Amino acid sequence: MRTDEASGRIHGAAEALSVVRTRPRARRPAVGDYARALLARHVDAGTWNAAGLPALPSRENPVPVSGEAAVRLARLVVYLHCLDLPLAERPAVWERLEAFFADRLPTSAPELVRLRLRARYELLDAGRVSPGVIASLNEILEFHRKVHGEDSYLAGLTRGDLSVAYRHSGDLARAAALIDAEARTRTQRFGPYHPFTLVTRSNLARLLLLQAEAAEDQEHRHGFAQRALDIVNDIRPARDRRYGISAPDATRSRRYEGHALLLLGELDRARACLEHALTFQRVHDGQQDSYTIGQTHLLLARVYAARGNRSQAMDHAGRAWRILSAHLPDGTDCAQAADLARELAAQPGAGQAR
Amino acid sequence: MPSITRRLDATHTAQWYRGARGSESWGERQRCYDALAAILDERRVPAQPYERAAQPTVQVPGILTEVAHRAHFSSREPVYKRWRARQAGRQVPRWAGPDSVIAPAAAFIGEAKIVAFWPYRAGVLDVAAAFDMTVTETLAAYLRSLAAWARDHLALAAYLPPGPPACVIEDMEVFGAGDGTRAACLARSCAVVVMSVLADPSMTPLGAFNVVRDEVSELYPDPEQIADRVGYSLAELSDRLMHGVERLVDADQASWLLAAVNELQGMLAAGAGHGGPP
Repeated sequence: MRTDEASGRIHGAAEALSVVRTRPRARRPAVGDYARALLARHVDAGTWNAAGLPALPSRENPVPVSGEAAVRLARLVVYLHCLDLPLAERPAVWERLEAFFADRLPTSAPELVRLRLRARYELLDAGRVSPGVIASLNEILEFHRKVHGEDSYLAGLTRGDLSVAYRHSGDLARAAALIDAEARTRTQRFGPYHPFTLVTRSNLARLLLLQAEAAEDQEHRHGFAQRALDIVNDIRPARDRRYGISAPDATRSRRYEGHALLLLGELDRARACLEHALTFQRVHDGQQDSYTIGQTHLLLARVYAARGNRSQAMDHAGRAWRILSAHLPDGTDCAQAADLARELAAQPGAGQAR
Repeated sequence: MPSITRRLDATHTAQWYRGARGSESWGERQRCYDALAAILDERRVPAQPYERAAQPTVQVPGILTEVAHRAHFSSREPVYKRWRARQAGRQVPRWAGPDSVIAPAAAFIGEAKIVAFWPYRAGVLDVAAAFDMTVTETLAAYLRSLAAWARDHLALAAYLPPGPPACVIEDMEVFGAGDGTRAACLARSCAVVVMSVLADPSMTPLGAFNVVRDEVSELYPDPEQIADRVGYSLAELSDRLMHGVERLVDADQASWLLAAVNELQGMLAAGAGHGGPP
């Protein structure tokens, strides 16, 4: 098979595999095995395996493909592999993948720059933000602005990731300014309910919730929380309709809604909302303990604690801590769960609570 | 093999492609496609820094002559005769058929688009068959692969008339399953996907698919979404019931819903493998 034909076939297969992998876990087939077997036909499995990447079966005479096709499929292989790893362990795999292709592609190859962006995003997801990560994201943003244009799709994607980096570094005001501007740009270009815009608006809601948490007085807290709730109430029906109610994007909106209601003191509604979110997360993740399930347990623990139901609060705080510590033992969510569990345990009568 | 992949495997173009690829003269045709790719690569105008690198429409005057020269044919004639309307004695008929209105240059470009897209399409069908993908999943993958093709072949996709390869029309008729209106809507979505990439070549295949996702979803009321819709309604109902049952359902409705939910519980338990109702 010619190189361009093999590359095209990989692109087509990778797009199809990306569609199949969005099935709920219970109905998700062995996409990873298929992707690895396909990749093994086109890269040298020996070198790949020696780089510490997800093991490929050995094949003789791999058919060469374009760098972009190889990176596309390799990204999918690593992504699928990482689904079964705790968040804290994922960045190392992505860094190895970046190093693997950095040795084989020019530094400014667009597919390598995109891979670099993905590797930085994994660091953000694992809560590992440093000035170096922010500098690297700024370099990637500059690349996309220059090569693809100021308002190009990839420049927008990178701006969104940079905003997440500022959020993780605690610079909420800078993160909010960036994401607010990006949400306006995307709304203008794609419309308010385009999936690309919805992601940004959802990130804006998340940021407002963090600003609410950090607010020193109730008036400001309620102001931020109400803005977040307004955004989520607008985007959640669109996500439910588009992706299905148990899809991760839809459930994330529901969790943010519950979080906003908690901050606004509407505890009954917050509880109902978060219980639904938990149900849908379990449906989609097949009872797996994903990080977001841990975050929902933590919010439920706070809701039950605020309602004075210590037994339920302790139960959820314990579950939250178990899941979050397995993913990111040094993360702020894990620390919050531990603090809440300790606080609840220290209350009088805690021994009889369970 | 799911029926959708079987039907896509039996289209006019699929049969033409199999026949053409199996022909001894395919190599010479491929020389022409390769020459076209090289000519289009050379004519790509680099974008200005910080400006959106939109791909303008492409048209090369005397393209068949240029291809003949680039592919080292002795004259334009060997190239021209491959794509002229009169096809007597040709081992590989042109995809456009004997319609004399279609000029050789247009027939050549149309065919080049199809041949360049074919591996992307084949990659989708491989996976669709391996994982028994539903019609909607296969369609989503098809549209995403179309965007990937446009991104990898910008100048070809932008060649006059800019847009997807002509074979997508019959493929969308397969997806339309006898509904001409739906097939026409899907064909328009294919064009929108390709034009989105030409307008912003940094657009990812998923991003381009998202541009038409809503329109495509509305054409396919997926039975699998029934579970989602019921789940959504139940969630909404229980959410609102917490704020006063009397405002939402009366006593009769509450009794009816309770009976329905109990009935459903037994059926769902059986479906989920938890055994039937006690």
